[in-house]
Amino acid sequence: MSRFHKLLRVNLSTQIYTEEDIPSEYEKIFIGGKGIGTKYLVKELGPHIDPLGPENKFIIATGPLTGTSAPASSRYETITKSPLTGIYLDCNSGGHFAQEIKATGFDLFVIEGVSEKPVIIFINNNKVSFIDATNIWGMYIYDTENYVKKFLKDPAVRVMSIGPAGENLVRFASVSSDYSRQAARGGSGAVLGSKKVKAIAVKGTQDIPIANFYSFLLSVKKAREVIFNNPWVPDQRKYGTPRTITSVNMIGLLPVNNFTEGAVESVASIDEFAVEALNSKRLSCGECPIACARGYNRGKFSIEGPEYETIALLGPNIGVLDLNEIAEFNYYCNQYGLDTMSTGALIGALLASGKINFGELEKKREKIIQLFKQISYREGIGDVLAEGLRFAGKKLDISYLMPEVKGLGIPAYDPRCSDGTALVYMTADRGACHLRSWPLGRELASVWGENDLDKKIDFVRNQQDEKAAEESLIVCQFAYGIGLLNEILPEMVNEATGEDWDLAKMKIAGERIWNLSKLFNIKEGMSRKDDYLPEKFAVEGIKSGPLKGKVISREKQDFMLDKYYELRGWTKKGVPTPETLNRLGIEEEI
Amino acid sequence: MSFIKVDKSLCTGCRICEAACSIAKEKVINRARSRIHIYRSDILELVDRVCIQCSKPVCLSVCPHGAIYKRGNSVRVEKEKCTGCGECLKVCDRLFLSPEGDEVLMCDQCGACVLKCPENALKIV
Repeated sequence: MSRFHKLLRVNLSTQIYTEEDIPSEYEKIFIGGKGIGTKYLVKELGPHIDPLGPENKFIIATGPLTGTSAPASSRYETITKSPLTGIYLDCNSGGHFAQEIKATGFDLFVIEGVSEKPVIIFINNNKVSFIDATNIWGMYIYDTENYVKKFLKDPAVRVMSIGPAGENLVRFASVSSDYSRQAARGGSGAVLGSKKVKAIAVKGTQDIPIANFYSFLLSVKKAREVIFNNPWVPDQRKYGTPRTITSVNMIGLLPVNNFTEGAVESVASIDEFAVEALNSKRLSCGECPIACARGYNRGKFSIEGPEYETIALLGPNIGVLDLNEIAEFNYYCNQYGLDTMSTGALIGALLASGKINFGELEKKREKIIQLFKQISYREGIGDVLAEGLRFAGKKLDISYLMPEVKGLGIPAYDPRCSDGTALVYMTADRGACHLRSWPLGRELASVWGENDLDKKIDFVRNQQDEKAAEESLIVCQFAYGIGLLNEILPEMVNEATGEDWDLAKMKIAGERIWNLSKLFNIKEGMSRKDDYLPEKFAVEGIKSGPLKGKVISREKQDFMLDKYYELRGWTKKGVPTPETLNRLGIEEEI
Repeated sequence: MSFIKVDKSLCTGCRICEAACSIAKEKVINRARSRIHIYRSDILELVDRVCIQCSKPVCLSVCPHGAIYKRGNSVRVEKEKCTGCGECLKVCDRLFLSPEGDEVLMCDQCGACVLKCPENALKIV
């Protein structure tokens, strides 16, 4: 229960849609969300297929808590093969779309094939219609969402859509829902673009089945107490993610001018108080008592945000310290459907290369906005940049400057600041990602010393497993903390589903999922050689700030990888051993 | 003539009220069975929809089945008489059709949503 045990398969080539049962074995060992989505991806995708071809699939997954009244549970996962990295990609996004998917009576959508013409897929409970979208191909994201709501004469229908960047197969195009919520990284938007899917509209009116209704409601009440007792929550409520910026700058790990320096003189113009001063209203994802999002209202340029990653990567990383300017950049990325993080990292490297004359101040602002457009429509140099950091680096002969791992741009915490963070970026399943583990806080709080490298490595491995489970439930880490920290999570799942979970079982499921995505990547040709930071981070110290001079040497990276692989039960080449796969019950996947 | 007032300066659009309503009134979790709805009409625009108990309720006057009635100052729907014909929905967007289409859902100010709102954005006034 709280599961429908069903998936909806939508074939765009034939416009045939079918319902399928999700085997209960999958639910028992992969939880839901990221786990079950990954299982289907591995099962259904042959190796070396073109991510932008008809053989790629776009999976949208919910978890056992999605759609229920569990706090902070309105999140969905998109799982696909990334056109940016050529490997596994999953994105996790909030808003209200997830609840609506669940209310259709399905736990999972599998979108496959290619539509002949631009199309809006309208999923209304168990009926699917294909609406011609030729007339709105080219439309911006907000306009698309408003158009679909108007066309379907339903202001409460939930819409996922792509913008011009996705249509033009920009390899880091995002997918958006609820206007300003993105499954942004790795090019989900390009996958939908290649399938000619302009939007997916969803309407669900099914009762969410709950195994033990009243005990579930009691657990929900407890969960709310857990959240409000989390000491981290009050500030998240008050300031959202921008609250990070002051401390990140103070400690000296802010990406400044393409990860060259670690701090700027003052972040007062872009910190949480600056964001708060421009905040017009607090906004929330479905069923969330925290409401950490901020509404930035400036007429046409309104956005939900900007969030920390965007502020840093489209701010100091490209030499900009004006919040209105950053919000404007964010607006254009939202509307074109570009990942702000990858775009910021890319422009940062381009600026550092001197290949383009950006000019100063107003001229620079205009040039950057022009670049967003050029990338989104693949005009001029934009056509090269649209291929992503790695390709553009090679083509423009600036690979050394590109901050990426496996092709995915490095997030806004300089990995030279923290051994653990470096390892997180090196080993994350989809390429450099900050959401798989968070050793940074503990490192900076000196929980571990310089000689505790083993402890850091073990922490990362553990938390990666826990996070994979958390993203399978799916709940928000801002509410429950990072990983599996409280018994309330299995308690809610058990009351909702009638299943028998505990934290230990969930963690093993997380490890299983982590190994499964690893197998996917190995089949795509990934090996130890791909698990390193770019050379720059090993040889060139941070140029300014408190952490001046810090590097993560290649020797240290090797040491960490050796130890990490060993702890995971992987070979020196980073391949799960048969014993490990056997222990996790996924030996047949190899 | 009390009704649920949504303070939009406090509402974050989390829709916890919708699930709370369906739980209180129907003993299920289904936001489509809620008597209160919050949605976004644009990037930063929240719209709230819940019966505001008009003093001269148009829904009552257009109902062909006599299913909408006044008790004292309160406007109510009589479930047994309502057929879900939808005449009232043509004149007011603060009423909702049940997913089965057999009944119109109208807020009766039970206050379940008020208790669950984490932002204190709802009040019975």
